[in-house]
Amino acid sequence: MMQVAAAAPNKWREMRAFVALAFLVWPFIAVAFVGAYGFAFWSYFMLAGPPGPQ
Amino acid sequence: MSLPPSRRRGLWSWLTGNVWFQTMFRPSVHFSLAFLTLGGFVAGLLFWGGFNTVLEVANTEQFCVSCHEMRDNVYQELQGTIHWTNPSGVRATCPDCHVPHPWTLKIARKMAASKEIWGKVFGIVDTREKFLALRPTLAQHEWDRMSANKSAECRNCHKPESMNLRLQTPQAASAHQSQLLTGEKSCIDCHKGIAHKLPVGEEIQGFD
Ligand code: HEC
Ligand code: HEC
Ligand code: HEC
Ligand code: HEC
Repeated sequence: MMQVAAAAPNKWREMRAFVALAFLVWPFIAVAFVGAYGFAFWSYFMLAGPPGPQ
Repeated sequence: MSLPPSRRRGLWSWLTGNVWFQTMFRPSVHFSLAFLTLGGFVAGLLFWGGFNTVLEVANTEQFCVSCHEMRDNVYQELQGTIHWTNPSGVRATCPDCHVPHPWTLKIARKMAASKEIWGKVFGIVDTREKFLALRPTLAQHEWDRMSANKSAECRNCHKPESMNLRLQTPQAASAHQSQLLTGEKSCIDCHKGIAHKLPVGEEIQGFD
C-alpha cells in the first residue's frame, strides 16, 4: 500500500487543532470519564446495596 | 494527500486520512512545547474551575427546588421544621441531608439523579397525588440509604460524641445514651419524618 502523504503542516490548522483538543476534546473525555465512574458506583450500589458509613 | 475514495476502507482509514486527525497526532511544527504545555495548563485550570462550579451549583437548594416536584412537596414541608428556623440559626438545606460529602459518593449520587431527570421528563410525580402515591417508595430509598451509612449526612452536623446529654430532655438523653452512643442505632432509626411529612400510614417512631 502506498504511504499516505502527510498534509503540509499549516500554522492555522495546528492552532485550531490545539484549541479544539485543549478546550473541547479533553474536557469532553474528562466529563465522560467522571460520569462513567459515577455510573459504575451507582450500578454497583444498586446490586450491593447502599454504601456503609464513611 | 489521502487515498482515493475507492481505496479507503472503514472508519479507521477514514479517520487516519483526515487532515485534522493527522494534525492532532503529529508533533507540532509551529508551536513550542512551552507554549503547548502552558495552553494545556490554562485549559486544565479553566476546566477544573468550571467543573467544580457546576458541581457546586448542582448542590444548592435553589437548584433542587427549580423542579416543582421538589418545590411544591418536600420544600414546602421543610418550612416550619426545626431545620428551617431554630435558636442557633443554622439552616440545613436539601443537599446537607441528601448528598454525601465523599467525592466518589457525591458523583455517584449526581449520576443517580439521572433517574430524577427521567422522572421529571415523564412526569412520574408531577402532581401532588402522584407524589403522595410514590412517597412511600422514595422515603424508603432514603431510609435504606441512611440506615446503611449510619446517618452520615446527619452526623456531618450532629456529632453524637459532642452531645451534652445533660442539656437534653431526660427522654432524649436516655434514648441517646442507651442506643445511639452504643452504636446500636443511628439517627434515622428513631428520627424519621424530621424534615418532611411521613408517608401516610407510617407510625412516627420516637420523635416527630
Ligand atoms: C429535574 C428536576 C429535579 C431536580 C433539579 C431535583 N429533583 Fe429530586 N426528584 C425529582 C423527581 C421527578 C423525583 C422522583 C422520581 C424518582 O426519583 O424516581 C425526585 C426524587 C428525589 C429523591 C428521592 C430519591 C430516591 O432515591 O427515590 C430525593 C432524595 C431527591 N429527589 C432529592 C433532591 C435533591 C437533594 C435535589 C437537589 C440536589 C433534587 N432532588 C433535585 C426531580 C428533581
Ligand atoms: C446543616 C446541619 C444539619 C444537618 C445536616 C442535620 N441537622 Fe438536625 N439540626 C440542625 C440544627 C442547627 C438543629 C437545631 C439546633 C438548635 O438550635 O436547637 C437541628 C435539630 C435537630 C433535632 C432536634 C429537633 C427538636 O425539635 O429539638 C433533631 C431530632 C435533628 N436535628 C435530627 C437530624 C437528623 C435525623 C438529621 C439527618 C437526616 C439531621 N438532623 C441533619 C442541623 C442539622
Ligand atoms: C434510640 C433512638 C434514637 C437515636 C438512635 C437517636 N435519637 Fe435523638 N432522640 C430520641 C428521642 C426519644 C428523643 C426525645 C424526643 C422527645 O423529647 O420528644 C430524641 C431527641 C433528640 C434531639 C432533641 C434533644 C432535646 O433534648 O431537645 C436531638 C437534637 C436529637 N435527638 C438528635 C439526634 C441525632 C443527631 C441522632 C443521630 C446522631 C439521634 N438523635 C439518634 C431518640 C433517638
Ligand atoms: C434535616 C435533613 C433533611 C433536609 C434538610 C431535607 N431532607 Fe429530604 N428527607 C430527609 C429524610 C430523613 C427523608 C426520609 C423520609 C422521612 O423520614 O421523612 C427525606 C426524604 C426526602 C424525599 C423522599 C420523599 C419523602 O417525602 O419521603 C425527597 C424527594 C426529599 N427528601 C427531598 C428533599 C428536598 C428537595 C429538600 C430541600 C428542600 C430536602 N429533602 C431537605 C431529610 C432531609
